[in-house]
Amino acid sequence: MTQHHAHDGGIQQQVIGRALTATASEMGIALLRNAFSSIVREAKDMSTAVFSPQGRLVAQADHIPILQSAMVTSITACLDDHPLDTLTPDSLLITNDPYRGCHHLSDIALFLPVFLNGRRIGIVGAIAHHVDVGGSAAGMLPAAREVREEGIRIPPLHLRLVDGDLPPVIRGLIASNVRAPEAVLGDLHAQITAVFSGRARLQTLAEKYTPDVLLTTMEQLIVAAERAMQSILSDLPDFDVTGEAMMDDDGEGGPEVVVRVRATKTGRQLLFDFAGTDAARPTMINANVSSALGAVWTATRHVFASGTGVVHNAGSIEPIIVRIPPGCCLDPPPPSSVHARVLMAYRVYDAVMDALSKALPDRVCATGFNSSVCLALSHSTQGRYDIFVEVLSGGWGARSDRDGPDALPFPLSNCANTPTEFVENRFPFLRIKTYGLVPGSAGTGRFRGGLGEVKEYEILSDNVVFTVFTDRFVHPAPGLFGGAPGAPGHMEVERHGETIRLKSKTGVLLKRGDVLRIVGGGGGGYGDPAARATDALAADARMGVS
Amino acid sequence: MRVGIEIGGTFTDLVAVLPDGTLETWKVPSTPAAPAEAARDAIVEWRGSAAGIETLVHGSTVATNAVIERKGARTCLLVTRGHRDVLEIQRHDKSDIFNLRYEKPVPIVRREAVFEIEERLDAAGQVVTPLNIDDDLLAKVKSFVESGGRSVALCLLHAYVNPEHERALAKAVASVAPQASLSLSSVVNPEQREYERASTTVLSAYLRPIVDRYVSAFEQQMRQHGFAGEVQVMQSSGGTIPIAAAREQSVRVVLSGPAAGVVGAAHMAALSGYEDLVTLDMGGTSADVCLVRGGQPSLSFESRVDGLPIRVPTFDIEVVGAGGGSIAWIDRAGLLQVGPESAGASPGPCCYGRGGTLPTTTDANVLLGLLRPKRFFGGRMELKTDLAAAAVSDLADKLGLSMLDCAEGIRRIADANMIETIRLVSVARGHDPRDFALLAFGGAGGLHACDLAADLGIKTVLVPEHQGVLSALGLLVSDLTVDLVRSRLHPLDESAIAIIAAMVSELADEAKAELSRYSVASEGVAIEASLDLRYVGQASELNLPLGRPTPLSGGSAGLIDRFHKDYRQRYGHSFPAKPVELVSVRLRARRRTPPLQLPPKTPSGKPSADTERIYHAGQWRDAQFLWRPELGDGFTADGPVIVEDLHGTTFVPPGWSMRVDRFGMLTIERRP
Repeated sequence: MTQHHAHDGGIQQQVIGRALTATASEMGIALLRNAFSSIVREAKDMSTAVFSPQGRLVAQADHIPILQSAMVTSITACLDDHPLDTLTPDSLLITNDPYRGCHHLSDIALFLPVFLNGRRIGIVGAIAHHVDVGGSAAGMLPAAREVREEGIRIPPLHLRLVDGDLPPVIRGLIASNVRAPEAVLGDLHAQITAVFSGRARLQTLAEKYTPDVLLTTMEQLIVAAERAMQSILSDLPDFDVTGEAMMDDDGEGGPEVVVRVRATKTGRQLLFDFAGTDAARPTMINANVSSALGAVWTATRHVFASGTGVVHNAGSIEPIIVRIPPGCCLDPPPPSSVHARVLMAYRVYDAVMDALSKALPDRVCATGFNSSVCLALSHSTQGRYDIFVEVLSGGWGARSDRDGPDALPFPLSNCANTPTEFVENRFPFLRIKTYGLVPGSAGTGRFRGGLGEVKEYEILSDNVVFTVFTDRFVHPAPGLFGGAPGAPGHMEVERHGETIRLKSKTGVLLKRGDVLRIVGGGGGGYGDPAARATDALAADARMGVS
Repeated sequence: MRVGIEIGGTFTDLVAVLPDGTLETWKVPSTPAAPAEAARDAIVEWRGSAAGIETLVHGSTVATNAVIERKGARTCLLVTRGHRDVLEIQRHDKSDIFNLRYEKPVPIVRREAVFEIEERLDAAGQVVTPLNIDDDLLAKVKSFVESGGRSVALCLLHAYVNPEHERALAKAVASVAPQASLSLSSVVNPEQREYERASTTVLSAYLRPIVDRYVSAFEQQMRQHGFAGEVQVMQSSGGTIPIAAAREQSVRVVLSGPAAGVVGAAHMAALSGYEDLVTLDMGGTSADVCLVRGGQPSLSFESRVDGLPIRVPTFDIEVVGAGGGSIAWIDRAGLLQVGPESAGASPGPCCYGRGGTLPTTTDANVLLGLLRPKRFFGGRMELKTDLAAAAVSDLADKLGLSMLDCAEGIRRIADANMIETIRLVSVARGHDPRDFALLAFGGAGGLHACDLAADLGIKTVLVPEHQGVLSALGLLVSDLTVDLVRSRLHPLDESAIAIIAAMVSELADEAKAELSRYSVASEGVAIEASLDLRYVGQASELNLPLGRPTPLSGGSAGLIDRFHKDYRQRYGHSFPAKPVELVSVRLRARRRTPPLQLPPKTPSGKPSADTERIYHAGQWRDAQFLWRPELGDGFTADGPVIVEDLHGTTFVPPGWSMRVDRFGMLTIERRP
């Protein structure tokens, strides 16, 4: 069946491209099905990808948008330290270092070079968010000032597989540094299963099409994606606009942190310059360069490439230049903490969307609550930790042609929630009293923002540690073009009839009988509320959400 | 006499087994406004009356369409206080993560029709807050029903463990709104995870009055035409249920259409001696892929209808946007793509001459000579080659290809889409596609099957007889089946064995009681139990068939051992040191339908063959065109051959050979 036409209109390239994309998906399936911790399984906080033999991204499975970038930046760091010519068929590269391309210590990246008859034909990789990597508190940290407080830090290492698994010395080292060693080792094993499945498939493809054809096609796929992105950009008018977004505080009482961006489109190229962004803070709210890139790439994919079939690979990101001044909160000096990087990444997304709204008003959305509520409730008995990790959500910003979705993971995330019945079975120290939408929380507009959500946990045991980080308790999601802002979020504990307000980034010790209420806010509206269609107003009233 | 009637979107098919074992088939256009009329038309046109039919098995898309078009019964939902928005919030995960205009699936019951009640159970089913049925709530339900609401669904937290609150509440609702149709989550879907259970329960409530009205109309039409036998209805699990059960458990009949096709396909393959299959049903807009092992199509216990979860046993069918009508286009990188957009049945491919201007897979097959313009649908519809040529040439110019190379390119890319789906379906379930035969049906399946098989390393391609009416045929051969499930989270240790044994025996009694309620004798009913098990800490379960005859004699160690083994088969490794827990016990009771006793397809002399040119692998060559009804047992031919039939075309490429067996099955294998 293999055909070698000098010119076949790119047909074979497409066929092999399908197979490479499917290889990445297959790896994702292997990882998901084998994973132990709920954060991988339910939140799909993971990524799988196929790279060229030189380590250029060829195909990546769609799991969680923000991790698009970690694949590219962490393999680069690994290959900087361990050059390509040192790799052998039993090599395995591993890192979770946020200063070497990972997003935060929870995300551990594995890369496996793939050989056929002694020739390197590609590299496959799998990243997963681990339920606990040690550090000063279980699950989510309430506060950290430097990366060492976040847990075990693995610089880019070049390991040798032992019996098809991580070397026992590494397994032992990791196991003794984390609170849930079974889950962490189980999930690492799932990652290894994933890269092995990718290796097998890549070898089969090279046997079928010959390594030369496979490798040439990988390069062609990268060029094709670059051309596609350039063609989309060149069809649009040039622009030069600015945008900004604000985080409430740095978690330790410090003032607002502002992300500023200038977006310049010239011909087939798009430049995002973050000059003027506030300096890094000595707390855990900084992003790092890779997280910021993940946010920029997702925003551009949303605005420019949605529905075009453009494949995300090393080529599609080529026309997008990102400049981040060193020392700002998007590139903090080591060893600053970046534990809560998702929040700052959202401000990057918001600032980019704000800028683009001035150039392309009908392609954007208003700002959403865009502050994932990342929380952990943990309880330990006899030295055994039971850690419940969950990510709550809020309302999206309204779109230029429709309302924002209610209570949905924001654009960089895709975490499923945890069923109440599952929580109460698995974590007997919790009872979910309420889980619902928050009427009135949406920013009004011609199109309204999405509604926020509220969850109330009744605490059934003493000594339950609650840690959380989120944002927009002070500055709500702004509206766009006359739309109103969404409602801010808030959090409190009811204890003996008394209400204790909590900050957005905090940790507290909960007691039996406490009720913890977490409220994610609403999204901003789009356009003049007076222009809202009467049937939409009637539906809001009927649903009891206005 | 046993008759199957399948109502599809375009055609309504009838298949009957006559007393001598021969099959008769009939096809009439569907009548979407009143679907039962097409069934009547089919009977009347076929033999004038329904007299003499003992069993009439029916499948239709009425329930699926009611969901997609939101034309079910007005329904309200009663939930535990604090959880009113369970249907709005859903499970959070997005099915399309790079779409800024993403919308959640729209719930069947919106917020204004969800009412909260004060009550609360804990995870063990113990009462935390007693049920307090306040007058205010009852007044709301009453007024809902009096203002045109027809169904009331109940889904209280942890009701799958303890149904008492749901039952008491149902009683109270029935007393104020006796005319309402009630659906209890503890009856419809007694399994953990409240959103999925609520969604299934609400769908059931939404569909019951619709399915009830429809099957009544169907039965009445048949009775008016002399029918005196029993009616059975197809379920999404591939088994049938008596009509009375379908009225009560309407949610089980959603997605029955694709299941019937797979049953028919698996049955024909089994007659010819093949039990491990990948089935490929390729029609106009999409292709359905399903894995069959040991003659049993693989089941899934959760699927989606219009994006909404539904937990009933369903064939594990993967849909890929590749059909005859899939549109070929050029993407932003200047490369050829095929689908998922489809020209559908209207306007359809350009060559249909109904106004389509975008090139499709069918247009490519016409230009390559694989579909002959005057022989399509047995010559009932003439294809317009010039219209196909115009559309494909336009695309070819943009790609810098000849028209014919472009047409082959369209085929290859459509094939690649299906190949990757077949691979994912098999690999994701721990199987190697090379261990299976590829069974193709639907109008276009046979045209592509050999190319897919070559790529996947599959040695044998099967194209069954009656491929145009395989769904209706599936109705004829499916077993009457009752599926039950009960959840019980428990460590899989020695104490679990007695629990499992008791649950299996209770479920078996329940199944028998259900069958006898529908006047089905329990003789000849086979009981099969299975367990949903998982490693403690994992959230996804593996279904382990208990097997027979003494499944539990090995104790928990035996079960755990088998679980590790199955897990390894599916995922490539297992965790022998990890504890295993029981999640649910499933039970299937089925009354076997005897296999078809088809008379052999005797040779009718030498079939006539035309020789015409086809374009294949970059060159023109001569191919034989055969007419399938003329091919009898023992006939063989070497590709390139095209076998034409009333409802489908099969392509045997160069290097492949075909033979016909006594059941009319085309078996195609690569020549050594």
